[in-house]
Amino acid sequence: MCSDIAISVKNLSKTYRIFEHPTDRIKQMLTLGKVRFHREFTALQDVSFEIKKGEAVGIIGRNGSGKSTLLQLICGILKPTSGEVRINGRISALLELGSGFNPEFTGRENIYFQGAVMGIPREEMEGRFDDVVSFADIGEFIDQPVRTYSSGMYVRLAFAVNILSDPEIIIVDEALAVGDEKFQRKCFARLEQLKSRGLSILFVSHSTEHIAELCEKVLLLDHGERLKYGAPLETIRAYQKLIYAPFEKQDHLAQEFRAADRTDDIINIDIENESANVSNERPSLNFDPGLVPETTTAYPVQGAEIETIRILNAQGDVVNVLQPGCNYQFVVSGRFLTNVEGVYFGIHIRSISGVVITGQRYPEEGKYVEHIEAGKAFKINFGFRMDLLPGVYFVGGGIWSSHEPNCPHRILDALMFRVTQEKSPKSFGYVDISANESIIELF
Amino acid sequence: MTISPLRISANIWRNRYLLGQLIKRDVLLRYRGAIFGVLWIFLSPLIMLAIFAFIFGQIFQARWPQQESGIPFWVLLFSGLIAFNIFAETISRAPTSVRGYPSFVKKIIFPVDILPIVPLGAALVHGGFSFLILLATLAWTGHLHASLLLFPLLIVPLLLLALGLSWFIAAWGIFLRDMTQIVPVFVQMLMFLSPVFYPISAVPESLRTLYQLNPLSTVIEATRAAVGGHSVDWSGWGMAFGFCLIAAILGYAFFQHSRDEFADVL
Repeated sequence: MCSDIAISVKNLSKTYRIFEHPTDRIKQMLTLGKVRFHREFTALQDVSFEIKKGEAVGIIGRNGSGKSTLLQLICGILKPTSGEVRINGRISALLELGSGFNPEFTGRENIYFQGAVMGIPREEMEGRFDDVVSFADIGEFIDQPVRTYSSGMYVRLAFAVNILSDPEIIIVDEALAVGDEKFQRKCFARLEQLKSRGLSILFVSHSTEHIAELCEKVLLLDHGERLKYGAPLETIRAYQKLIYAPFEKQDHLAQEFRAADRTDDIINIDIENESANVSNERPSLNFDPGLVPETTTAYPVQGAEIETIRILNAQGDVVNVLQPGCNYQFVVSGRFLTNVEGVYFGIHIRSISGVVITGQRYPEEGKYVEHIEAGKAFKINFGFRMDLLPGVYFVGGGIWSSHEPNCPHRILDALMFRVTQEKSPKSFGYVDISANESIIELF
Repeated sequence: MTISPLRISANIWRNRYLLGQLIKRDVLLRYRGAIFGVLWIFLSPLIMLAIFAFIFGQIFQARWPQQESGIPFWVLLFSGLIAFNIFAETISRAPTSVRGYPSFVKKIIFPVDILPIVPLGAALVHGGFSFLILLATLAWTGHLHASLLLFPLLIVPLLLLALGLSWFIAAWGIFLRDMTQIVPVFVQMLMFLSPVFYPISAVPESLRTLYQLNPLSTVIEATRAAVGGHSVDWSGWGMAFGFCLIAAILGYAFFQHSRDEFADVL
């Protein structure tokens, strides 16, 4: 095996034998397996992928899509029915934080015990002890039984022990969701830091934002099968499209993704909807025809359709190269195909990494347009003052109904725009909210 | 997969630190929160011995048949019970030794095969303290023999048997919850069918060969001989050792064979 591969999974399948009654298992044993008393349930089917050293891979999928089974197989907790898993390096698995803890024992005792489980001798653990305690921020509670801990403290301690055990591969299953945001930030920072030192991360989460932030590649699983393995944003889009699709269409979509995955094509997920891009406008100084997103994702039309999203400057021209500090109108227009109740509209601006920087809704939070009849067209102007820092941004929009679980329509990355650079900026990040000139005083 | 005693020992040896921690946790956990705490390790066998002394020494005035060494009945009874209790405690806790820790099986990377050894380790700790009490009692009543030092060696077959059965029962206990009910009955039955309360010589001739098939009989008789300063039947002991070693290996093999399905079932 190539030495820069940390985890290699080949044609992995897992089938559970389900016995209706415990005695059925004994009956089957007694007949030496010649008579079948069980049903089979396939949790994972023919999944292959590789993770390189220092690479972070996210796994997404609906509930029951086989994510946890896959992690357990990789950890060697479950035995594959067929296929193989190869691991190159010491694994630390956080399938359920603190699952090795005993609530009756103190934090201190549990730290040493957890170390023993991971094969770290006491002397070595003593050297790391202070780091663990300070990372977990437990304070004097360290000598209290962990049953007296708050759930946050419990998780922090468990995470601290695991992450400071110097693993080469770390497997995280939804574990960070429990800590507060400050601690989550700290964990992510730590993971990033370890990643740069060659740690491989396998990360399961329902939080697509976390995945987009941490991972270089994302694996999409559905019904135990690999639907897609590729760049985060693209794969997350596919996932979101899948979960928000009407039930009848989901199988079809899954098939489409699977086919594309097999041929290794980079397909534009949005095939049927390209109307959001503007093409009939003259190129100008403020319009760059090359600024067309490749990640446009239109959700299925379910009662309404967004036909265009455009950015207009003060003169009413369509633009996508924006000047800092100027005001722009983001115009969303479309029509309603069926009667929709309790409607509200939204528009958002995302960064390249997928972070929502800002957005607006109409009407404001808590208010709705009571009723819109089928056949009505609409046009909404959202005003924005361009206080974003130079860079490229994506715009998406949607129509929601407070009465429906599925939104009538939604487009992600409908268009992109660039904010130009005026002078050398003093701010960094995404927005410029500096107030006055900074002053330095030297003494 | 070939299972050899060497490989099993190597596997246990590799995890000795973890095993030690697990046993320590197990013993401490039992006394955690109790006012007398770990003192109970001493107190409970002491109380048991006092009751034996009162009932069998004062009320029944029981005597060991062909007793020449003069060791009181209740002391010999206690010595037999030390050996038997190590076995009984291990076996009784075997059904839950793995099932009781689903998170070790399903949630973390863990050498599950050492879990059934934990009750044995805990039982040995308790047995060790009981042995110290026995030692003190023998010294106090003036019956201390040098052959008492053989005691730890003599119970080795019993430990192997307990281990083999533990692996076997622990694996079955995962698939079959009834094990928790079956095992205590089995243990109680064994207590009366093994020569704990009586010497094997009290058993009718016709049944004695049957008794000798039970390695527990051989071991308990041998330990009693050592306590009384008599010679030990080494050939019988050797056979019991061989038998128990095979039982341990088979138990381990069965455990390893079925462990792949543990996580599926728990």
